[in-house]
Amino acid sequence: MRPERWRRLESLYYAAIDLGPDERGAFLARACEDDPDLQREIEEVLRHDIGAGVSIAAAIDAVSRLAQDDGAAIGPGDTIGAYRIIERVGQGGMGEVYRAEQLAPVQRQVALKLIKTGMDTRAVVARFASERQALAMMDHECIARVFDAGSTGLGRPWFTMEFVPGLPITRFCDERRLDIRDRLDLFLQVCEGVQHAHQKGIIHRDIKPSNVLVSMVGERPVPKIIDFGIAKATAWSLTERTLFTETGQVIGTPEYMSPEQARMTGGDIDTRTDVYSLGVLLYELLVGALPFGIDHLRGSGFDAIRRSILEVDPPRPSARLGGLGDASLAAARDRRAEPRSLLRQLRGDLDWIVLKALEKDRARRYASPADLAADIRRHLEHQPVLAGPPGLLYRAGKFVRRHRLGAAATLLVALAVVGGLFGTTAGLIRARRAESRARTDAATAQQVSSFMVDLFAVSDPAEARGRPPSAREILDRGAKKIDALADQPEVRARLMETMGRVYQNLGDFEPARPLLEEALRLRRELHPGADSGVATCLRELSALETEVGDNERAVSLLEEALAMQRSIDGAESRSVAIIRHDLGHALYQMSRYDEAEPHYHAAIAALQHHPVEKDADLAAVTSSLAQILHSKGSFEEAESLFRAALSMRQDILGDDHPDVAEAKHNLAGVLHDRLNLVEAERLYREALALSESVQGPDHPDVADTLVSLARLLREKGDPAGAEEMLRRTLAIDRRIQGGEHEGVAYDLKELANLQHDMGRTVEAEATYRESLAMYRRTVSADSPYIVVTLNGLARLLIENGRPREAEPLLREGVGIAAASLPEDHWLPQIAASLLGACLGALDRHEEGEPLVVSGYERIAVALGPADPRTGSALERLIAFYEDWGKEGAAATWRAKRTTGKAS
Amino acid sequence: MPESRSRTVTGLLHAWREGDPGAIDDLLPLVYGKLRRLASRYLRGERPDHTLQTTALVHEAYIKLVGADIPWKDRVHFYSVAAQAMRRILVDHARAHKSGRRGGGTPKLPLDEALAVPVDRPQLLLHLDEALTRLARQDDRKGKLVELHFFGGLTMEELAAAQELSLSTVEREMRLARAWLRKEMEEQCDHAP
Repeated sequence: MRPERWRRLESLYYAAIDLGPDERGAFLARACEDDPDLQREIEEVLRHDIGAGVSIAAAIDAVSRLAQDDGAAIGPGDTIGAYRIIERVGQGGMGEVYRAEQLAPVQRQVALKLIKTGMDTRAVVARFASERQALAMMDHECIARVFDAGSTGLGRPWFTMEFVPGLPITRFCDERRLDIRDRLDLFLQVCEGVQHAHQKGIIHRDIKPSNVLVSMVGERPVPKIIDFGIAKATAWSLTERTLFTETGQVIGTPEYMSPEQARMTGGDIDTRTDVYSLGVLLYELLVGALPFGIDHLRGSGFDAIRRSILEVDPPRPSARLGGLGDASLAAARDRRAEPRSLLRQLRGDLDWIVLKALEKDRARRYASPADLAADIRRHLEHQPVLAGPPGLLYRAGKFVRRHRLGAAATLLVALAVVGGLFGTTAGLIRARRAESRARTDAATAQQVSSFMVDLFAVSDPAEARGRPPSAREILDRGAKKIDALADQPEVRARLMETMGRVYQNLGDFEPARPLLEEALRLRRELHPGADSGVATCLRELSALETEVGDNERAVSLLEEALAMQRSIDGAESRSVAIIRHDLGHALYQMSRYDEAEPHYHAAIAALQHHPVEKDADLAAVTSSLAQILHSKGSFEEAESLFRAALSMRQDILGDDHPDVAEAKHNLAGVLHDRLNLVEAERLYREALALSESVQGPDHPDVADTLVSLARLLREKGDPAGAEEMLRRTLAIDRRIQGGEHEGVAYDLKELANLQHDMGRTVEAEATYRESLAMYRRTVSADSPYIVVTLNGLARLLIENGRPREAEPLLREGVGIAAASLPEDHWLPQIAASLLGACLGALDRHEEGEPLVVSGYERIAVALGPADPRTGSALERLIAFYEDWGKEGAAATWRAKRTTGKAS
Repeated sequence: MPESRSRTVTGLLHAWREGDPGAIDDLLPLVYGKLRRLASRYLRGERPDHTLQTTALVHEAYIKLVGADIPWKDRVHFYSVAAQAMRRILVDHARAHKSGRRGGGTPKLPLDEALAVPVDRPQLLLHLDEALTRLARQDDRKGKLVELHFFGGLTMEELAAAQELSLSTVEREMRLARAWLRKEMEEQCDHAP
């Protein structure tokens, strides 16, 4: 377009947008009488006008939507955020669900939910943002974890959660033919998960079999509840959209909908809504049919279904089973029972429990999933259930079954129960106390919940420029609003702790700290003395300190938590063992091995005191202890513990797990130090292959393993192989650590050693110095790594006739090592041996002699005569005497060399 | 070391303002490299928030490279260099991503994967880039405004200050630019295979 024509387009365009849409046509027709093409052009541009306040990103978004509607769907191989799509696994009212692979920072499979373009309204975006936060605050084995959320940049929000390769709970139970007992056990876990969510102030609203997926974890079936928060995000469409197509046909699952949801008054939903849906789920698990025979109503529209949910009393499960006819045979078979015995199992307690959960009036339902679960447990333990009719005979019967008394005693007991002598009174008091505690808990949960709702309600997406508000923004708002809760310290403490934890998980340590500190202060004030809540806060805060590197404070916090938890649960409890593990770790980080070790021993003893099958905690503590022993130079003990940790992990996690790779690497490390090079190399390579395939080629663990392998190859006499490994490592570390990091310093040190070995002295010196400088900036001044690097550089200087420069470096190294390592450790001895050799080179043989001799002897003790480091020390010793002109002494030591080799 | 580098950037900016057109050739690679590195961090999840905002990134690059307070004028120059660099990074990425996929197999994921707009639809970003080039040919100032806004993250107010225009002019021109780009891109989408 010629400039003057463009200028004309411009000015007419500006004039047109100031007019109303109706006037534009006439205006342009008049103005472009001479140039109808220009008129068309301007109208075309006007058609794409989206107002003044919209960003370019939104403009592109709009275009992309056109492209997508053409059917350009997302398919395998596409990437969204840091995820690569593998396949589509489902499609629902909300959008599509994909199985995807996260590539960084860890490689894992996730379920990725991508919201439908058509539903891409700002409201849904905002609700989704709220779901992400809510989910992030939940941490329970039975709740699918949410990992991440974002928007495709084209405005389609997505989030990723744990990929659950399971079956809907009803199908799982039927396919495996689980009996009633196993079904109840599974159901109890579901209740615990929902309870956990309720405690975090989150209601599911859409519990049904397809949202409860069961998969095997080891030998154990574990249910996972998915889609927490989704129903809420799309609450407005639950009835209109999910249940009906345009032709009015029911396509959703109204059977699990509670009366208060069916009433559609909106907004009047609480935790008991989930209790109702759990009741329907339990019904189906027990009977194999739904409480209302709704299927035949599907054709008759939503009103008929609604009416039956609102008005019809569901039959008792046992009665429903009896009415199933032939279908009851199949139901019984799937439950490994005869129809008659199944009927017997359901009749009574289970009938009452289910019906109590399904009460139309929610005030008569169980108040929480925990209450429902507790009643099921009472049934399983032959105690009177709350749901049962409180007849005397019933209670007495329970008592007898529970105590399995002889027939004679039965009568006595029955009389006693009638007289109200045992059980009931005490039990009632306990129940009342539990009830009042539950009420406080519920009130707190309610407060927390409404706080969260408020928080997300104000997240106006308009101010977020077309993208969902970030986690940070929502949290920041919350942090400000918490102050308004000054008069409710319990709620405040809980919220602060939760938000502090979320910040911390997001890696935002600065805002996390004041929240956690304040939560701790409040908790202490509310519960002076030993309190589990305070201990939890202390641990939370200590984790933060460990993250930011203040191990000193972490230790003192954990010591307090330890004392507290010990006085609550006893010294031998698992909770105490876990705190000890944290504490040991913090001490280990500070190289305080001797203090850390007893904590690990005590933790292991406590865990073994109450043995559990497949004890992941025990595996972790065992590995930590082995690591300390390895660091201290107790190779033999370390080896056997690393072997134990490896086999425990393989047992618990299978063979394809990053922790197994780590365990292999650890074991290889100690074998390497024990000069079992063949097995060490094999394990390193196994760990490497495993890390690369499970964690991705750029993962820090891959880099760690490469370094170790390089060191081994160098010692094996394969410098070229070693250099290749090291260069790969350095590249990875520089990429992931951003250049300045102790990991990079380590790689440089290793590379320097290698260059030195290969005779590339000038390069080696520069690399050593680069490594040393980086270490000094990134690790504590007394770190053994500094000693190792100093030793390497000093050796190079001595060999190249510059002992004067080497001496201060070695003296520094000896000083550091003496302060931070045990005396019989090999590292200070190598520094001492080198210092002796250095003094020899400076013609100060008398001064150097004791160092070079005792250095060698103690290295030989610590590492054994065959270790290359022992060999080097011996060579230094021989050279020392030769240089001194003491041929006799030199010969004696040379003899040692040959015998050393022979043995 | 960082100090001397920052003096260089500031110095180059200054030289550029003083009318040394060669300064930008020295500046661009510096800014480009920094931005690339910053962008790549987002992919590996070192940052909690995955939605990459060009604004934040450019600002971070600015802090890292320049650090000190420099006159507003120089800062605007920096942002316009950064916007160019950002555009190049995104477009390069989109190209690499596209061709990688066409080549079959699983392409190694480039480091700047998490960049906001172009990731899922590299083709779209390429369309934008082409349309923007055409816009700049037609109307240099509007091209510049869009580049600064979209790739450099400048707000309307900052655009106005940077280009020495009134806010209402910027808003009006941007409105036309957006609509025109949408039209162009939609045509491209229609014609794309």
